[in-house]
Amino acid sequence: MHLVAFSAEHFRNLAPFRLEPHRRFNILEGRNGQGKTNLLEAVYLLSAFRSFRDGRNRELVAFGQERATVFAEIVKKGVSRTVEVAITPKGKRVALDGKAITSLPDELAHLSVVLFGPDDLVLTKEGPQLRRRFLDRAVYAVSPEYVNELRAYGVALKNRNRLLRQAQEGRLDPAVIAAFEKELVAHGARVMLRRLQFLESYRPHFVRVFSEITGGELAGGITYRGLGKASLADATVADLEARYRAVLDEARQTDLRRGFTSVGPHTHDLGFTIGGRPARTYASQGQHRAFVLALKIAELHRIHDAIGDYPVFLLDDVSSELDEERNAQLMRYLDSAGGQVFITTTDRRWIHLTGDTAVWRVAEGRVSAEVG
Amino acid sequence: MNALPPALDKLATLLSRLPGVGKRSAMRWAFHILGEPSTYAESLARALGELFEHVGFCERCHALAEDALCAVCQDGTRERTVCVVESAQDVIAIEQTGSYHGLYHVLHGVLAPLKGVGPDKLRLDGFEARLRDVDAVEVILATSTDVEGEATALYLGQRLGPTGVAVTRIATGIPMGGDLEYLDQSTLARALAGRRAMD
Repeated sequence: MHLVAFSAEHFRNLAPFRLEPHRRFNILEGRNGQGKTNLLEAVYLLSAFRSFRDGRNRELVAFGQERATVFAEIVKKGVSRTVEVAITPKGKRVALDGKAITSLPDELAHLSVVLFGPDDLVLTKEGPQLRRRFLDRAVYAVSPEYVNELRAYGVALKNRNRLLRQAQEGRLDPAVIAAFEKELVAHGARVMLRRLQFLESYRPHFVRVFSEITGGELAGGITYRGLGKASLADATVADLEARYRAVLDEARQTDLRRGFTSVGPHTHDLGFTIGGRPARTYASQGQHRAFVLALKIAELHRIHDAIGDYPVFLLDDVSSELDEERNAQLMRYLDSAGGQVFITTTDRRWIHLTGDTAVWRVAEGRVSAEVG
Repeated sequence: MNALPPALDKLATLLSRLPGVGKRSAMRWAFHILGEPSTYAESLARALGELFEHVGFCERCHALAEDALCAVCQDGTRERTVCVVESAQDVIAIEQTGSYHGLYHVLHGVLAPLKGVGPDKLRLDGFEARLRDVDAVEVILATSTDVEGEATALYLGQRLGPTGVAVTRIATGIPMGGDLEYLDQSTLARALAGRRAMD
């Protein structure tokens, strides 16, 4: 799938633009702070209907403007569709083929996007939040209804946390807590099942790609870490509910004292290993980079399995952060795989692509095609 | 200078507080009312006035009522089943199906700790006593299927255990005329879990 037309108005610092991206490589070149990442953010918004950056809706709209719009025409398996996202003071509005849509999950499948940005480069090193977010985004790229399951779990979790704090104030109603815990366990088990199922189908891609990148010297591994030490492989929803129920019962006194829920999928993590040892402590700098590169490329392969097409791949200034060898491997991969790619860079010399390439200059929020 | 007469402005402001009505629609409605013969505005005003004079809530089941008791509670032929719903509109929706002939109980909300709604904020005072009074044989929990609605049903299921009355949950699953392939997975999973034997 690829974008054949792409435009935006009043989006962040970008001057209104309309461009016809190349169906293979689009290099967005410019100095820092000119708006390159904002362009990637606009593409991402058309897929996920939310930003990959933290912050308020309001910040997506240019200063002094009421609303921003982002629009694209997408060709997927030979069929052309349009998608438009408007950011207004009342929230976001999404229109697919000119018709407003309300049910998110069904429509998320219209455009698949994978982002590889600075946050991903530290996936193996930083805390679990980034890994959970990586996992959750990867899961809903292949299973859009996961959004609803994750949301329902979040509602149950927030309600339970509120009840725990009310209990601290002496307003403990065990029957009400019990009711919300049942919901927490039911939705939590579904969230875990989705993640585990995703990992089963994703892991072979990752293992293969990591081996290719590192010349097969050490094996890369990914495990799901949650609900204690015992393996969760082949667990059914009923197993997961029972296991979650057991750890929740055990944690209840602690949770009541602390006022928040300390167990469940919102605390789980991915374990990354190289040669069987934890990557975080044992990997060399080069191995860390190989690991994140393999994570991302495997994600593209996994989505290709699911939808029979490559997603749009957004690379936010990663070439300058990868070493020369990893960068060359990334470029070789991009050349050999299909799909549309947007790459931001401060210096085009990092980008060695033999495929067809369009270069867009980004300066002070203005996007222009490079002629020649 | 604001060319809008204050009376018109006031009406538009009041109308814009209605759900789904923006400032512009409210203004269009206000102008429309102004453009109609004055009898329309008079009957509209009368209808609004009568609303609070004549419509209230049933003191037994808390559904809409024109008297102390609603039409359902006054109907002696009703079966001894009590259907628990979130809102008075739900009663009307179920009545319109014509396939339920029991009593109701309107909670006027669901448990929602985040919004500060606990059991004390729902119309549950004397609920168990009411079940005894009507000699109920079954309670149907018909709250919605989102997290709060489910938790409310779970809570009531627990709470009503000691009464010995049979407690059931309204079914969820495939909508009539619905295609399986278009259903989201959680709905489909529930529909499978809630399957029944063929008659």
